Amino acid sequence: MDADIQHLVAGGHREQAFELLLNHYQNKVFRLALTFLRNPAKAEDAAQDVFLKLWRSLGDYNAEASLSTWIYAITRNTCLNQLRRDSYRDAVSLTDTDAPQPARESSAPAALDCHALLDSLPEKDRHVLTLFYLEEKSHQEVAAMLGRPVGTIKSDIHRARKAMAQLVIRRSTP
Amino acid sequence: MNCSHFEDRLIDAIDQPATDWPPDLRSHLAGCSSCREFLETQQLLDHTLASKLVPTSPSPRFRAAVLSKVHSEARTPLIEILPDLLNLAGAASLVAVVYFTAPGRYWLWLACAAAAALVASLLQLEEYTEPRP
Repeated sequence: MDADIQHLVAGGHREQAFELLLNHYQNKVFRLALTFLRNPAKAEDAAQDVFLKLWRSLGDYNAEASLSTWIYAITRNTCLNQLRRDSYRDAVSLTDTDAPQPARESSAPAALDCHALLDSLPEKDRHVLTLFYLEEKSHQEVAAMLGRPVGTIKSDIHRARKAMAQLVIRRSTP
Repeated sequence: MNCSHFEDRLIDAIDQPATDWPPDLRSHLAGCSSCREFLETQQLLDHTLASKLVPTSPSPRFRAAVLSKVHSEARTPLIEILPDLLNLAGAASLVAVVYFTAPGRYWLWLACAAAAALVASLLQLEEYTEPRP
């Protein structure tokens, strides 16, 4: 997909390249923005800004960095600028589902308020853990989205998962 | 080895089938209630987070909003192409003036130069009239 977009850009077909890019990356850019901004409306506004920036600079894209790396870097910078401009933090508003809970035969707590748990983690851990589950446990994808080495991301996710489990156990222990 | 070490190994192993776990990890788990509780909690967290943090998409109007912004950005105001329009008109006038007034054979060279300026203006103008996405 990235190669197709690069080929279209190189051939001067900027509009077609942009449409392809928009189709392929709109969900990922939105999710990454949502992880940073924690508000769907703000994330959508930021994602629109990202694509406008991409449109402006698509003609100058020279394929030295991978397309996804470039797009995610613009997304992160846009979100960080947004956070700097607006210190107001809304509550996490991630979509809930009616997925069945696992059968329990243990002492582990029955109901977990995962939003509250994520909120209790340091911001860096919350980012990696949220993206880890949103991106179906792909360390590579999380690393690409956050612009960090895969090894570092693996270690961060490992530490965050352990910290979260220990926190739940501590809270459930009388 | 303490339980913290086994907890680390459990996190690494949790995404694989339990039958594939190393024997020493399974035997420790069989005799350690603390690590069993850690594993059960980790599995519950995994399941809950995976089901709560579902991949979300932007609203259905997102794509149209982006394309609308891009179109309005791509649409060049008349004031910006005015110099090119004047350039084009000037070049066309020059061709006409040279054709009707230049004496002898010099008119041909001057007409060629003016025609080149006209073509350059047309090429310059073309970038404003690309088809919109």
